[in-house]
Amino acid sequence: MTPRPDTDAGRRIPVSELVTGGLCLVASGVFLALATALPQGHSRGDDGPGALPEQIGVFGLVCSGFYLFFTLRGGFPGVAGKFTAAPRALASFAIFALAMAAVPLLGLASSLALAAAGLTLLFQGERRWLRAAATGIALWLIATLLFQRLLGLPLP
Amino acid sequence: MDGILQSLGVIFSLSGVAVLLVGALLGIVIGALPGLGPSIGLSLLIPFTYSMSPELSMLLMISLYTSAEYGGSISAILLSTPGTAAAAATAIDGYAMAQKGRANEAISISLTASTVGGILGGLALLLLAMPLAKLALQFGPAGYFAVGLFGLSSVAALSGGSLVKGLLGAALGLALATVGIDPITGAPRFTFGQFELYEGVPFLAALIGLFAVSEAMALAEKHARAVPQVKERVGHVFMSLELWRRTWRAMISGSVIGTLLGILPGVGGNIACWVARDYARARDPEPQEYGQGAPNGIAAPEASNNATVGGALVPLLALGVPGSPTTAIMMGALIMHGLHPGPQLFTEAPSLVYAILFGVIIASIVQYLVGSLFLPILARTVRLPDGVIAAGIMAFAILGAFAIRNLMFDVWMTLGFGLLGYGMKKLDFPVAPVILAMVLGYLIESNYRTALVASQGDYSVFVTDPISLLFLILSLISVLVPLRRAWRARRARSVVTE
Repeated sequence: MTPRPDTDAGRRIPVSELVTGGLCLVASGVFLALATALPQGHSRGDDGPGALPEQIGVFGLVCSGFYLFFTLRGGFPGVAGKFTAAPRALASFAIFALAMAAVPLLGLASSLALAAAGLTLLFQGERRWLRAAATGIALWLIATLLFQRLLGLPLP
Repeated sequence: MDGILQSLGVIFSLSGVAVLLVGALLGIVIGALPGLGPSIGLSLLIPFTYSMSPELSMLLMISLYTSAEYGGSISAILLSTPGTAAAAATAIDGYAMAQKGRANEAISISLTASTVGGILGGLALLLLAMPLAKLALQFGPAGYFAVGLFGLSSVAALSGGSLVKGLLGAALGLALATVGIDPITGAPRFTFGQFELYEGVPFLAALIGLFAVSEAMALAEKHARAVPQVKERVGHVFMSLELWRRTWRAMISGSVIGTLLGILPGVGGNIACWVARDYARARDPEPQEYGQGAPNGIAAPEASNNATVGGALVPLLALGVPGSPTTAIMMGALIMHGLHPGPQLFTEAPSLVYAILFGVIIASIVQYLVGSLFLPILARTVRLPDGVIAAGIMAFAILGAFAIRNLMFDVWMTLGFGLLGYGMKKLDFPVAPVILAMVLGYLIESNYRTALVASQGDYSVFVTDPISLLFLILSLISVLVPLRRAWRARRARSVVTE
């Protein structure tokens, strides 16, 4: 499909938008299929538990179709370098995800403290190690003293 | 009358005053930190309000909400970086004043105008909520279904640049709202054998993940933010009589604009602040001062963004429909306490309703006291390094997620939603429609099906019921107006290009 010359001609179609549009289309289709498998309603006039999900599925398919159409028409211009810093964000997420996986071994408070210190180390600046240690210790104290002791949260 | 006395008893009890103070302190700090705002603050706070009574929990949230709206102006004035989107208009004249060595004066105007706006918005809430709720008691299931759709139609205004992305977000939220036991037949839906999902997708896990975790991830993208240098030392702030004389009109007009725009679904402080500034400028005898540090350029937007708090609570209390992400979060918090906002709340929990109605006014006064007395300390928070903020948000998000049901399942759900929210941010998908649709999903579905059962499957009930028809038309208008605006803007752009 060629972009209309009077609006968005010459713009590159971002792959990320195309992939997202495709994912939305597939997800809506799967949701619709799951909704149609739900049982019928018991009462007269009630379309059953699948009624709204089916409509949401169809609505999702229509919106995904429009989304893909607008993407191909050049409606969502790509921004150079939009995802260049994403690995840092994903690294911060991975640090906390790994820490949560370690909860059965270390406990929630210690895992959180280690993850918080790790995340602080991702940032540059003066006295990084000191800042990371202080952040970790402060959060461990908050988790154990405030949440576990004072608020009675049964931390694992 | 009993409800009024009970609510005042809660507000002026030791714990009531304590939660108002804590809410104001947290709100100012959260509002002042660029990138954070009342939505993130509330989402991190809610899990820890379980053990409180609904009245105290709402007071804490209202106090944080109002103070965060004010807090946004501190970094706007000191650093020219608005702490919240609603403080963007304040940054223009506020920072200009600070550059001239009048930061204290600018903050004193902002604090006073925010307080005036909050009080007037609260008074409007007090006057409007009850009559509207009495009217709403006449609504049937078809009417409520249409009211729910009207609330959802604010997605059009919340979608930002792309309506189709906002609608896809709403579809995702509605889909998530259907997970769990079906409200009519009791059949499990989309639970995949996970007993943790029988009560539905935990709303708080979605909320914390989409708002807080995703924001922490976005903060982690930066290598390091240079710790901002604030030129002027911030002291205690009280407005002079001369400034009062110069700014009171702008405060009143800003408050009225903020209250009215706050009531409309999807229109919050981020729009009201610009409208109020433009209105004040058009009526100012010295419009050329705007942009150079005009006091009214701070007073009008600040009064308006705080007045939206009272305005936004009108449809929530009277109709049970949140018109903004922040009120959607508050609605979620009420649902967590086993309460359903709407006209029935006035008879079911009158002390709670009055605590909210009076709470907005009292919270504004507390915000003034806390803002005036603790500003020299609170202003230092704008210098917190990004790494510490990101780590703090992540840690509090996880603790909050665990506190929902003391299950690690909810922690993993929160992290999952965080990843989803971050992806949405990168692709310019608004997250607010997801939350709004999740909150409204139950209201829409249960009333839609109840109306159909009552009419024995006759779909015409939605247009023959006058209330339903009215709200369906309003929903249509609410969707079409932003679409028309976008179409006209696009057309104007193409004309300029030619």
